Amino acid sequence: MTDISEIILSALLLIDLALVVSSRMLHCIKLAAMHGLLIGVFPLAMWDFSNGGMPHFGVWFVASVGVLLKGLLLPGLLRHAMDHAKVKRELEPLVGYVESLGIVLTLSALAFYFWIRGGVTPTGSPLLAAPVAFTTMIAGIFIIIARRKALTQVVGFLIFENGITVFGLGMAVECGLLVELGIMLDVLVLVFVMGIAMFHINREFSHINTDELTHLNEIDENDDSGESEVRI
Amino acid sequence: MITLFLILLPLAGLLAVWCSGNSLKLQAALLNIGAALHCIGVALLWIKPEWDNTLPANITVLIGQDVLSRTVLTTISVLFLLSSLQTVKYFPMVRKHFAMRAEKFLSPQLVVICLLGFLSSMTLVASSRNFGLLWVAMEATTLASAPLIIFNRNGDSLEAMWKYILICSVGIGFALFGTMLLAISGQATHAGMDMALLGMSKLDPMWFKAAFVFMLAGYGTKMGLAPFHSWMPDAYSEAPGVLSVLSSGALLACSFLGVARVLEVAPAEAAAFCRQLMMALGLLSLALAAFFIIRQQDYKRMLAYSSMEHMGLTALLWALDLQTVALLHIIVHALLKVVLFMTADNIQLACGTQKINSISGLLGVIRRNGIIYLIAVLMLCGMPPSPLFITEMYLVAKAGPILGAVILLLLFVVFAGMTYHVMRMTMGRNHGCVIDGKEIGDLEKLTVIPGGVLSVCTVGGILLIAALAAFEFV
Repeated sequence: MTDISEIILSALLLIDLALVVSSRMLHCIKLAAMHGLLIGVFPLAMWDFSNGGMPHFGVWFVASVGVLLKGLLLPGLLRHAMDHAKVKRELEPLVGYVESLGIVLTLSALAFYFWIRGGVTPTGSPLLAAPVAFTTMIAGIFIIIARRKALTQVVGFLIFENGITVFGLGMAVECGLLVELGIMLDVLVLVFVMGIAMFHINREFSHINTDELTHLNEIDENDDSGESEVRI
Repeated sequence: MITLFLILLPLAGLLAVWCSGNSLKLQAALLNIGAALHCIGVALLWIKPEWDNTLPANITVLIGQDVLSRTVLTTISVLFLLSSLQTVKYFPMVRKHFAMRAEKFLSPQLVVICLLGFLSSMTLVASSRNFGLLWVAMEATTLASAPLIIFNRNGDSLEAMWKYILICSVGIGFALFGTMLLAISGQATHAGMDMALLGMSKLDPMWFKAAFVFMLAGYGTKMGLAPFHSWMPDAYSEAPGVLSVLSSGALLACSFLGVARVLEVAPAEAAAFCRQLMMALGLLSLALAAFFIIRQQDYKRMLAYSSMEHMGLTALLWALDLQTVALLHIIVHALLKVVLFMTADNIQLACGTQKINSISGLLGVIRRNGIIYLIAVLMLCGMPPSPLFITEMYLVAKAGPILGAVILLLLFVVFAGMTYHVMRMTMGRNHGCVIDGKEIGDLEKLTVIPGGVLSVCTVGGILLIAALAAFEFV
């Protein structure tokens, strides 16, 4: 069933690029949800139905938990956080959208070039898996670095983590059921904790622009008495 | 069986605290009982290791103990007991001191829940026998400790928490990628992520090198190795001292264990490369820490950079094949950080600031805290009879003339910077610290644990030096 898996991988690649250029929060979250859904069904698409018969319980379980968590629950949490923080758009990204697309496309092209020249794909795995995984990771890291809103950074982290998952699944790494579920649980709790942090940041500063969180540094000009000032 | 008990015990305590409602005494008791039982369990691991082997095979492939994990586990357990004993005394004092803002602070229930979760996840890190599980547990430590950083619920602590959680999670994400690469390097043998199987099988050196780079970057972020250290000073300066104690002593030891585990399975062809990489990062951490310590203005950030320095030294020791010495270094550093962060908390309560410039004459105000702080800093810098003197001496002796000279020079810079700051804080005439007599008495009573730990370190160091001199080891 490598055909379906290659279609999924191509779709993931397109979503990565769309995410890098989208400025509306809701759009970002929807794209991340789609990304999550595709990652969720990816283990089923990778299953070799002609030789292996029906997938065993573990594969179904991981896939369904993945779909539920990455496709529905996490985007839902983000949506909730977005409504609370009352942000709609990433208005002034640190790197413009066209430039972002250029940078991510270049890095992606490099990943493809080097992988196809020198990489070793195990037999039975789709050739696209590793380069798409790298592109996804790059896009995630790029969103974390180049966007200012805390919410967009969380989306970036999710995409980054999805990239690692694609790499693991695509290269047929044996994680074990417990470890895979543990990883998903960690990501869930992480997004939850980040959501709470975002809620507090929004209440304390009246914004969620993380580039303005610069009070803690080595040279402290305003020598106050340890009380923090609330800046708006 | 003991290992499983050690992991589940704090979780049970956590649930009990969750259900306990608002009874402060009950929560404090549960925390202390949990910590004490954990200590007893770890002691049993050393005395009766055979009691641990009564689990079914599908669990023993995931968790188990060896000398390394038992050592780290002991450090975690002792540190947790000490800081839980201090927590139940210290936090009520903070709430009384800042009575105006007390309802803004994190609720005691949540503090205890997070602490117990932290203990459980660190225990799992120390005892996991599978790289995937190790990663899961390591990420769990980040998640359990993050809420504790915003104890004060002000802007600065939020900023510190956001940086901590974002930088550590991305760093740890790289470690997950490294773990996948590690599994690929052993794919020919279908070892998966099992440490024992990977250790026995022949790994592909190219894939292994890639895996090591990412895992060192990932767990190095958590360990505070330069250049991935930027979350550390912020988190340690904003978090309450008891958390910094656990983070700086126990968590860094755990993260170091992650790196050490990868090195354990290194194939012979890649081992030299891994050691060189580790030495480079260790030396860089030492150099950067020396630079930041000497121009430091905040005494809690100074302690954070000192943790970074000592992690650098540990990495150097491990890379130079001095494993036992490195473990000793980790343990003594952890104990001294217990002393320092706890007294730093007291100083902060007394003077209301973390700025070195605004504090002087501590010896005249809170004498016991001042003396303990001063001696502990000297010990941390490797002044004999500190055991760190011995570990650093081994390091310089093994490193050879050029590297040894560089390390000595950097250690001297750290020593000069730290003693300069601490002398200014403790000596001279007091100005700025206005505090009433009753509270001084309370703060001086909080020095029981730091003072005790400091004496243990000193006596241990004297005995160690005497033993080494008697047997002429060096």
